[in-house]
Amino acid sequence: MKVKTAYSKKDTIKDSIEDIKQQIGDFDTRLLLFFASPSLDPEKISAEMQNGFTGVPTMGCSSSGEIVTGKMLDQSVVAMAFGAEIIEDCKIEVVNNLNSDNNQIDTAFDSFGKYFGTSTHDLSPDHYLGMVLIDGLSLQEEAVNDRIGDLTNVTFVGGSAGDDLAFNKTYVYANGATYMDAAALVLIKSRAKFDFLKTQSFEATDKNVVVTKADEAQRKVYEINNKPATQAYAELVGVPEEKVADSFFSHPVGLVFQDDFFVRSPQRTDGEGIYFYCSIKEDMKLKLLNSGNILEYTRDSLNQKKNEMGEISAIVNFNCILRTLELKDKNQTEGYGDIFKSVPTVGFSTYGESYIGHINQTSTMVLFQ
Amino acid sequence: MGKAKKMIDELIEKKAQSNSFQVNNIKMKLMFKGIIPDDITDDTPDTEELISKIEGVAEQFEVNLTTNK
Repeated sequence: MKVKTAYSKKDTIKDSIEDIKQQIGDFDTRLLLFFASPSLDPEKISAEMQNGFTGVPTMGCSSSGEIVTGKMLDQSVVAMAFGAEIIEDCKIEVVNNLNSDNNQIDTAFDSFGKYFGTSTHDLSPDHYLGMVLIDGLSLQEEAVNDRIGDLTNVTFVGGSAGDDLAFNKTYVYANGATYMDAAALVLIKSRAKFDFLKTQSFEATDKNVVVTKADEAQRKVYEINNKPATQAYAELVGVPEEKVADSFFSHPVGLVFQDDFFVRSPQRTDGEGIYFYCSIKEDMKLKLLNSGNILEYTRDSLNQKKNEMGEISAIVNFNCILRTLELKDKNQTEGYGDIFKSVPTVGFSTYGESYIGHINQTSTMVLFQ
Repeated sequence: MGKAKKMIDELIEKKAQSNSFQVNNIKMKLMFKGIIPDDITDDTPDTEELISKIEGVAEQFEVNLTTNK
């Protein structure tokens, strides 16, 4: 067995972890990944999880809904124990003070390099992969992903921690400690083959969106196509300007690359400006997107990967909270869970996904053969 | 004209380390940094701003460009 998954909906941390431990059982765990509702005290759960899995590297974050084999859950903790058939070796690093100019991403990667005996610039992306969990309210996901991409060709995927939609405090967990304004990263030397899947339920229209004035750091767009953002967006979608926010879910914009695109989701209006869930650079050329069926797109994309890989033995799924909200709105959470019922899966509803950059409204997954 | 194109090609080739699968990943990284590599052709004007942008990314990638020497 390559991995074991577990979940618990017990009310206390102690009972939840006991429950998880019982389900994992006598398994040679080389890495434990977990995602937990903040209803389980974030200041305590990381330490308690580490106490429950002594000597095992543990990493996780707070969430806004959890995913485990065949199920979408709320107010729970989910975990995946990776065994030696997948993990040849791994190393967890934490980058603190993301909002400081002096954050330590480079130091973390130096440490990875020393641990694995090769500069991260030269590590093989065919044998190594990374996962990254970032404080979902830090507004630093773009900078973190950008610097990771500078320092290595190893693919890092992950998500931004959630807090059950309170948008108050989000946490990342590593080796028994709890962090805010931080990112937890794990670099894995994998024995199993692996691949990545970024799926979104949108199609690009032929409508061009050029951001002509923006505050990148605040993720606010002031002008699109040289017009006030709300006016331009309303014209593109074909709705009255005062109702523009009603179209945000179904018509985000996408940074197009060949046949793929990276979704940037509008969040809310502010005067004539629009806040997004990720930053958009001035002069960035985007396309308006049209929404489709999440279940169909996800099922089709996963089936295609199954055909390519032959067998999938484990999935880690970083699923955007906006998709979860849409699934809930359409009573499709059971259907979404069903897509993953035949493969051991763990994941959570994120405040944004990481894949090359910071993205929105996707399911971004690591798939192990 | 043509210098920016040569620089971007060299940057991608060196960062990808001869791994053809990585070429697209590098191009995506460049897009997130505000450079659209597929839009840079031999006819693209070698503006100071573009050259400087490419040099900046080369420094971030720790890639030594010979095109601009």
